[in-house]
Amino acid sequence: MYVPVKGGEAAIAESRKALARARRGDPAVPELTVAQIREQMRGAVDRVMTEGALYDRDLAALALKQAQGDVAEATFLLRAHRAMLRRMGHSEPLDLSAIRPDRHISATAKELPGGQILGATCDYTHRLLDFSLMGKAAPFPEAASGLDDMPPDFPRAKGEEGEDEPVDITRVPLRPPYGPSETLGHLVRGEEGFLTGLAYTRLRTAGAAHPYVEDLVAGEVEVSVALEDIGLTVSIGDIELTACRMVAPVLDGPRSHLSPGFGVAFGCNERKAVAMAAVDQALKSGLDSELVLAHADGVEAGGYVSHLKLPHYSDFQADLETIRRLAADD
Amino acid sequence: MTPRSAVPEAEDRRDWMGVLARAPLDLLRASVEGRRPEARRLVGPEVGRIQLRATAPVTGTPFHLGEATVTRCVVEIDGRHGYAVVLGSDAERAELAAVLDALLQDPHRHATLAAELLEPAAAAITERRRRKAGAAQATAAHFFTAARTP
Repeated sequence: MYVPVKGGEAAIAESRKALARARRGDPAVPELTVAQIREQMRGAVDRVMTEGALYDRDLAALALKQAQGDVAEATFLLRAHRAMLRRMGHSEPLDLSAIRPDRHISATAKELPGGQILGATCDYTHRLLDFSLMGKAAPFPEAASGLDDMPPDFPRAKGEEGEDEPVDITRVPLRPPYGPSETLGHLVRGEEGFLTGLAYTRLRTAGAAHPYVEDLVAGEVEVSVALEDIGLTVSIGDIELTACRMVAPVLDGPRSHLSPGFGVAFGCNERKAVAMAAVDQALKSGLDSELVLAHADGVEAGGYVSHLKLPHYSDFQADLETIRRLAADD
Repeated sequence: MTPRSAVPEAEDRRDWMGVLARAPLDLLRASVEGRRPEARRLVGPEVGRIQLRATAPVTGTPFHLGEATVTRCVVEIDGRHGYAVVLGSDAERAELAAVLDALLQDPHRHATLAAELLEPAAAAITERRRRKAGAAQATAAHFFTAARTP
């Protein structure tokens, strides 16, 4: 039972001021700009966009600033803002085969067409703190060019509407049985730590039948929309995505085969894409879909855990009385 | 009166809308400021959201990837409707693109605007992509097998 309590307005107002002060930190240190967060805290921005399920770098950076860098709180802010935006239809299906790669690797094919494009990865760094970044202006490393020329690639609308309509998970409540479209939709916005942990438990127990990253690509892809008013499908911009295709050997006598998994995230977020692909594949091999899909949403999970902080005075009194009565009976 | 055939085709309009959505902002500003068209706002600019749809490879499952902000604007100039939908929350770009979409439909203005705006904008977009692709390709490793036992 919830019993409303009143009062505390002055304390709440002061608490908000305390929050604003905590956000600002030492006023002698220059304040962060949203543009600085957008450009230099890319990992956090991409994660907030992915789990907030809204692609907008500026809004995600603003959410991070407001949340003092707390990714879960920033995700919550972005989700809440999203709910206030007007719906303006849907894109044409993105052509994931046409991602212009900044990075493209495979753990199963040594000779990828175009080579293994390593891109901006931490994979080959030593993970030692770089104290040169403590200084003010690090030199900006110019890029070499591995291309002499590129065929003209003009923005051009592409993609036909498929026969099947994907389930709009923002309007349909999550209930079993979970179809393939809902499964992917919920996994994309799923909390990265939860999915990484799930993927890890599966991998630790997989033995020889562990999955392989068949194709991991990060880069830009074009977004097109059909404008009914003018009868044209036009290209409206590009978004950055990371997509991972995975395969896992399923050893089952004559029915042995490779089982696919797919993961995707906004921006550059390989851990999420790989973890999601591993979980997607595991769901096809018996991982409990209720466990995964009903608990993957970070905003819901965080909200539910946080609600324990709200006043539970009456509940707790009732529990105490029950405990005393039972202990006295003994 | 210009003959109907001089009016830009739908295909051209589709292409220039793609260019306006990505063109460097100062180029859009300069093209509008120089002309000072009398535009009447019909819609927006207003920010909303679209569902991003995609199809999973291998399984072919269509799914909902998340959403993205878009900004929409419709203007009218000399009876022509200029239309823009651009990715992101960017009211300035949406309005400039809508104004330029209307101006580009004007057969008397189209050729000049194509030369002054669309060509350099398309060149800038292509150059940015070329640089990005080149930088990515510079990090390409061509692994080879050092030894293979039969």
